[in-house]
Amino acid sequence: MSGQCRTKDRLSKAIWRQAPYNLPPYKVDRHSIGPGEAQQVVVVGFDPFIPESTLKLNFSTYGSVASVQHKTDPETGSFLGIALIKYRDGYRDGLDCNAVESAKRAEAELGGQRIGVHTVKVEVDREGRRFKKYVEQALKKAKDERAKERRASIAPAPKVVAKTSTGSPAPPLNAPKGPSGKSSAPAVRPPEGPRAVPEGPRAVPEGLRAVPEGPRAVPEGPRGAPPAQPRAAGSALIEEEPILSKIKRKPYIHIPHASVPVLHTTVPHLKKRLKAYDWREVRLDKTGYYITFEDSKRGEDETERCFSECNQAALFTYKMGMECQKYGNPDYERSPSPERVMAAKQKREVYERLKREDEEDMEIEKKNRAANLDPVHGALEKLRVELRDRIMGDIKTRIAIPIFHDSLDPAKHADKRRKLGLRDPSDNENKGTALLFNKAGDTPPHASKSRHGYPLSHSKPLRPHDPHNQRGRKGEREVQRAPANAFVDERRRRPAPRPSQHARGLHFKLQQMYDDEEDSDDERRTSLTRDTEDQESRPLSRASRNSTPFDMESVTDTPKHKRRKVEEWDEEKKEVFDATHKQLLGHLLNKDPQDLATRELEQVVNTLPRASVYGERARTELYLRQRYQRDDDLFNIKNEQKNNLIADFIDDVEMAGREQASTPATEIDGKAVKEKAKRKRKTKKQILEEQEALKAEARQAKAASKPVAQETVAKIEQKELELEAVEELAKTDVDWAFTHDKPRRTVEHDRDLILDIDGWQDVIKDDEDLAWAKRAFAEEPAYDVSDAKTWAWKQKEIKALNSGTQGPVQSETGIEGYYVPNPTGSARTEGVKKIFNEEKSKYLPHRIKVQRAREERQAQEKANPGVVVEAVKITAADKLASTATSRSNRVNNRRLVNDINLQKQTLATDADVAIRFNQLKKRRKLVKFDRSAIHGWGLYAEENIGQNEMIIEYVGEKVRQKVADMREIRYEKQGVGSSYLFRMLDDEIVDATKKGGIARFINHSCDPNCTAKIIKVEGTPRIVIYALKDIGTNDELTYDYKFEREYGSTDRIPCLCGSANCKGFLN
Amino acid sequence: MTTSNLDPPRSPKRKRSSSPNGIPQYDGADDGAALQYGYDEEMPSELQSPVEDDTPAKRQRLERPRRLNYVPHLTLRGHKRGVAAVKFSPDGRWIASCSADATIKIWDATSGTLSRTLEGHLAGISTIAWSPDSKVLASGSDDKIIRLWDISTGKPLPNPLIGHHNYVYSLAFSPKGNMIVSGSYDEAVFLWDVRTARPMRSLPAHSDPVSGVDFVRDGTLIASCSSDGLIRIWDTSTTQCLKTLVHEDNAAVTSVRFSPNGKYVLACTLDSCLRLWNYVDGRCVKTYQGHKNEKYSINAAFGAYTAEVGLAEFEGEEQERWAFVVGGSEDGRAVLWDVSSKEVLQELEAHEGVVLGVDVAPDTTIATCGLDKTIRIWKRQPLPLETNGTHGAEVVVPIMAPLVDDSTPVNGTPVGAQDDG
Repeated sequence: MSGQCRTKDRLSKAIWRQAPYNLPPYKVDRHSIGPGEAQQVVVVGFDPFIPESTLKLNFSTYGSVASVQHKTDPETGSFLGIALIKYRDGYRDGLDCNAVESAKRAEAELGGQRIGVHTVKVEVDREGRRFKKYVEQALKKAKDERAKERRASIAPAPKVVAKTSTGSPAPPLNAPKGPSGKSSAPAVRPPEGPRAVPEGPRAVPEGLRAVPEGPRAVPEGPRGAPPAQPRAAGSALIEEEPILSKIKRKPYIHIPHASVPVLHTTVPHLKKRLKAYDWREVRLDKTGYYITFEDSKRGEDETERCFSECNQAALFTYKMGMECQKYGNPDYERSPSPERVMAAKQKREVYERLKREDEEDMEIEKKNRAANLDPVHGALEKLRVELRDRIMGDIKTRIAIPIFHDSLDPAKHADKRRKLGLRDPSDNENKGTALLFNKAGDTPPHASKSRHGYPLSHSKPLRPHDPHNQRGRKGEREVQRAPANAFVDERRRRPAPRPSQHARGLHFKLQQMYDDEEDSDDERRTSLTRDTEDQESRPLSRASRNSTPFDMESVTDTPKHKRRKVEEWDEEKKEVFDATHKQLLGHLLNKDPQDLATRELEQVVNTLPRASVYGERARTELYLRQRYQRDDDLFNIKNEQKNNLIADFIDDVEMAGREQASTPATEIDGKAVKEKAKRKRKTKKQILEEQEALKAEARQAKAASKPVAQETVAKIEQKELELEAVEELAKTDVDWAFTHDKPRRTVEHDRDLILDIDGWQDVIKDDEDLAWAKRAFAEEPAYDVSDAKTWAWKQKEIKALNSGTQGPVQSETGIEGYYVPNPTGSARTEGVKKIFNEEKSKYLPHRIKVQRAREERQAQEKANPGVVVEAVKITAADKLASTATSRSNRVNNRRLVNDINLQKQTLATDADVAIRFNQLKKRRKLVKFDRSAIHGWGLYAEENIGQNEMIIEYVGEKVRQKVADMREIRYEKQGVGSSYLFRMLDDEIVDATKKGGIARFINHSCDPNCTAKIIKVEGTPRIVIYALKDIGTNDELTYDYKFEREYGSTDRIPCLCGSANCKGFLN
Repeated sequence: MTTSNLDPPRSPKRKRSSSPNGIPQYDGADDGAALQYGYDEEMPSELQSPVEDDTPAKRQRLERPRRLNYVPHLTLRGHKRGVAAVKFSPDGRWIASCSADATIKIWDATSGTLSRTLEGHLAGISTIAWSPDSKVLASGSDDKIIRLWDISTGKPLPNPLIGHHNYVYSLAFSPKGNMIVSGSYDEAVFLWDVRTARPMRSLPAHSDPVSGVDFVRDGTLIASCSSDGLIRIWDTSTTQCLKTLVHEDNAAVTSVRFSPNGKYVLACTLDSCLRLWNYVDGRCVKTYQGHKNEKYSINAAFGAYTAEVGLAEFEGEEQERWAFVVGGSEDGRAVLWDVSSKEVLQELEAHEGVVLGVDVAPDTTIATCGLDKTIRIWKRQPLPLETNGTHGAEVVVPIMAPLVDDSTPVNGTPVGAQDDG
């Protein structure tokens, strides 16, 4: 007996699908695969106790039986009365006996017949499915019976078997039974030998049989009997004690009870649902499900992945609300390791020991001090230190410094310098040292300007408080402006903050030390605080040079000529003299300064501006002469130095600037006396000169102020009258001192100063100046400003607001960048005018950018024409390439057309339309349109396009020339900013303005990467855009519009393509 | 974007045909009285939203006046050059005027006394805009700078808005006061953040000077117009161009304004027309004519009027209000049109020369300014008794436009334009 049986819960991944039964079965032929036609039959309804041999005998009448499978109950081992008989191809009675045939015959002939007393039902069963179905049904029934019987606890085994046999569904109970003789004795198992033969062909169906078997396990669940076992196991799955506390560091995901109800049955589904993730365990307790993962980095990642992908995902009708804990139980606290406890303890011990030792040390120290307490000792110690410092200081100041000074004296190294061709260092040193002797405090100690001329925060009380001033735009602007203001208002400049000592050079330190040693007066100190650097911007007044009376000792230490300033040597070569200067100096200008008399030299120096080369040369000459003279003085009459000085002083007064301005009484008494002397001594000639200069100044002022505004001059005039009230006089920093080498202006006017109100206030220093200014403006009509003070203040306000600075400036406070004033004052009062492209190019930022780039290129080309040649070559090569391109295009095109024609002949006519329609579309490339830098919109490649490839067709309405002309006018009137008309043939124009493809967005470029070709497709001309070069993704597509300049057109269309050989205009 | 503002109103044409007697009458809330002041918070809600037609009896109790009688109230002198714009502050207390003499003057609206003169611009000022809280005034000048002025101190706020490349031509404050939109001769529309004084967005808007900009009442839309003839509607948040309005003639547009209810834009064009556009449909709804505007960038404004002057105060109940449009003219007049009927309500002989700016205060006072350097304030008075109710024999205000059926357009212009946008 073949009691082979299959376990029912065998897992299989195959999907069980019932075959559609309304389909007729395929005929089996040589092409069919699979098991082929049925070779076995299932027999039910016979007496289960019929031996297998009987069965076999019965069935072997229809063919040679390969095997008989009589199914037994797996639990009881009893036969179920269901058998599967398999036939095989055989040879019998000299006839071919086909297995399929045999099976069919068996079904047809034996079906409904009796075997023994029972009527049997025989069915062909190709894959044994039916057989299996029967077995299952029988088994189920048997099980039910058994369960019932167990409950009734009357369960004799044979009865069960009997019931089982009757319980088999297929045969009716009252069915007549087959011949009893056949069922009387169980058949002997067939020998294994013959069975082994058909094993080969059977192997296939056997394997396949597994396929449907697997899935059956799944539907089994709800069927009742089989799940009984899992349920028992399942209820055990719900753990009693909370899992959370048992999870330590393992990453896990918690699905709370609230989102998916706790049911053990869900577990396998959950497992299946999460099979894509590498979980370790799925556990559940009353709070919900815990899916634990591997305790490693990978596990954590997996946890996270699972969470991110499955959170809120569906599980049946529930939503898995997950809670991801990739670092395990968040409440889990690891107990501290013993090593760590040990380490902490040791640390504490060490700390305590150190503390203790410290305290002990302290005690000992205290004791020692108490023992050794002696005030005299301490005082001596102090004194010793003090004495040492004092001695060291004295050595420094009394011995070292004079020696250093002597050795550093530039006069001593004159020969050496001359040999090496070095400049006189007095030039540089002067800035620092001259001040040492400058008795006149030329800067008020507290002026409202910082040294670089920025307005200090407290110096602009009139401006509104600006909390944002430090950040953002404003701040940047101020910084940018700073250099421009370096020249601003020298008189108001504040002395530089005293620089830190260590940052100074050694030389400076020496001076400082020297200065400190002496009981110098305050002024010297103030002048010393000056920074050396800031002198560059401020022309040194002659008075501050070296004519200051000084102490006798210092003369010996530092000869005065050392601090003389020599002007910069590198001046521009060309010299154009002012008309006034020519008038004044006339003949002198033709001579070499060396040939001039000293007087003449002085005149020249005084008249010419400092920037003048000639004046410079004269000054140098004068300086040299004076130096020689002074050297003589020094060496010849040493004893009478004081007298000499006075003589010098008087001399200087005579020479001293004609432009000495009066200063308020901030001067000390001695100064006042000197000033008086100076005033008296002004010669008639000097006054005349001064007059001249002022007039010139006024003229200049007029010239300067004219462009500002027409009213400004008049305003200035008006303002002058009121000026004194407004002006803050205390701010002047005129150097009240004398020069002895050459005449210098006391006040160097900055000629670049813009003569706005601040400028005028800066220029006019005293009543005298004011009088001259008044005279200069006498003929100007006064402008009515109601209150001069307010007016002046307002003007200053406006200036401060717009320039960000206060005080005199050297650049016009105006509107930056492009600005054309409107004749009526503002844009809105002006009315609407057509703005030409030319004008627009001056202010539209993009156009300016493109234009600038073009100009730069042109300048570069001018600079080295080689580049031009190169560019020409490139363009020539391009052209060559493009002609080649067009040729190859044509070839390609012809080929394509031929191809299409050929195809057309072969295909039906309706396809022909489609082809014609598509043949251009087929080859087009991916493009998109977007805003373009060249003009409005542009077309961009969305894929790489090779050279010569077709890109897109220019599609639009085809119109005649006349229509196109009309439309053009209309479009222009409507203000359609772009031209979308494309001339195809002489009288065929494609208008893509209103109806057209996106090819119309392609812009013009003088260096295009595309070209438009007119090709004939099907006899109709089409405009097609081809690539001239290889075009990369996102490159803008351009072609040359080749516009012609129309006659009578006033406005040229500027080209903004920005290419290297841009012509600048489209037409 | 609020879609509620974009509800397409019923077609005005259909409504017109529903008035059989040919007398233009109040025809629907959305065209007439709904053009209320969007910024006015206290406005009754039924005026903002279309009212059902089931209350016609109450509605027509007071007939809409055919004439208005605005009389000159004040003349403000002080500017040295032409006055480019005049604006009432939203709270109605101040009048700001800007001039080509680079000054802004703040006047007291009631007394007409000069309160402050704001100086600081280097060139003439073309446009001004009040912040919604009436505390800050923005001014756009030919010097390319937009300055914000603190009205209480008369000082400019520290950070001017710098970024335009040519004259600033038009300005508008957002209703929240946090943004400023400006149009310039450099053809760009800039969206500024007031707090940081930085441009937030630059809208590549036009191909000619941007002559007008405006915010819709909730600030979600921006309208801009340009001499290139386009009116564009922008989404403030995305700065996408939502709609472009073009008239067939393509005349230069010189001013654009949202209606107080935010459903229409009013545009002045240099073909001597004022057009009311339904920007949702892209359709020109009304065309107002009768003035001359061929060269100058002239403003227009919306206002509301009631049947009787000052009646509301006495009765204590809200009167029915109709909307009018007022625009300047180059022949020195300022013309008032009824919004829905398009008839001329009054012509003010305002200035010598061009009337550049007009504005209507919340209390319906009108201010005009012009190239003659003066500003005039107009107050409404009851119609003179002898002319009240009759047509023709009006002394103060001559009426030019005849009263005609609405379906036949005034002055023979196409109305309710057929253009397809």
